[in-house]
Amino acid sequence: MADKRLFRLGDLIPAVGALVLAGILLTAMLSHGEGAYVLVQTPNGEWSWPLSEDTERVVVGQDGLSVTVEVLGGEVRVTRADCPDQVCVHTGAIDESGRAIACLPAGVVLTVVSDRQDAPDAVAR
Amino acid sequence: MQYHRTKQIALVGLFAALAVVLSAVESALPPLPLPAVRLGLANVAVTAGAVLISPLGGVFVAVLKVLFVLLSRGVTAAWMSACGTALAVGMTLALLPLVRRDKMTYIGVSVASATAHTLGQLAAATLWLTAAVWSYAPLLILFSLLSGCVTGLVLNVCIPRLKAVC
Repeated sequence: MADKRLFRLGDLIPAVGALVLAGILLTAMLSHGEGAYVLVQTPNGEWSWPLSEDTERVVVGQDGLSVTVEVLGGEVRVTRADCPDQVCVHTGAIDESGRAIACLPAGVVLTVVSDRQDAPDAVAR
Repeated sequence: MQYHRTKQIALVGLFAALAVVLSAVESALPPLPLPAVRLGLANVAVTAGAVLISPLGGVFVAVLKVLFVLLSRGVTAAWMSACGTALAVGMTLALLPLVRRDKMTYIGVSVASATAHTLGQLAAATLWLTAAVWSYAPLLILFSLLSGCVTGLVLNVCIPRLKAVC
C-alpha cells in the first residue's frame, strides 16, 4: 500500500524528461531562428541582402536622409544615420528572424527574414 | 455488484462536476502573465477519478470535461482540449502502476501528463492554425513542469484522504 510520502525520486524522471524536451525544442528553434536575409524597405524601393556576405552600404531614404547599413558576421546594424535621434544606431546589431531596425525620419526599415519571400506583410497577413 | 456499478456512475458524475468547478475556479483566479497558459487544476479531478473509481472512470471524467469545454468555450477550444486531454489521460494511465508500486508519486504522473497535454495541444494547434506555435513550446513545457508539480502535490495530499471516503 502506498505510503503518504509527498515526493519520490521517481518523480524526477518525468521532470528531467520535460526539461530535456524543452531544451531540445529550444536548441532546434534557435538554430532555425537566425535569419538568412535582411529586407531593406525604403520609400525608394525594397531590396534583400544575404546576411552571409559582409558589406557596408549607404541607403538613401526620404527627405535626403541616408543611413549606413553594415552586414558583418551574419548580423546587421546601422552604423551611421543622418537623423537627429539616432534610434536606429542605438538599436544595435540584429540577426534573429523577425527582428527589425527602423529609422523613421528616413523611412527605412531593416527586417531580418529567413528567406526572400518571408516579407513582414506575408507574415502579418 | 449492482451497487458497485451505481456507485461508480455516481462517482464519475461527481468527479466530472469537480473538474468543471475547478476550471471555473481557475478562470476566476488572476490571469497569469503568459498567454495561452493554464494551471490545469481540472486534471486533478481526472487523475483522482482514474485512481479512485477505475482507469475507465478516469477516461469518462476526461470525456465529460472535454464536452463541457465544447459547450462553454466552443469548438476550437474543445478540439485543443480533446487532443491535449487524450494524451494526458493516456500518460496518466500508463504511469499509475508505478505509483501503486511506490516508484513514483502523483507529482511525477502530473508532470508527465501536463507535458503530454501541452504537446497534444501544440499538435492540435499545428493542424488548426500553423506550425509557428512550436516556437512557444519550450516555455509551455517548462510551465507544464511547474503546473504538474502543483497539481501533483494537491493529489499527493488529497488522494490518501479521498480513498477513505470513496
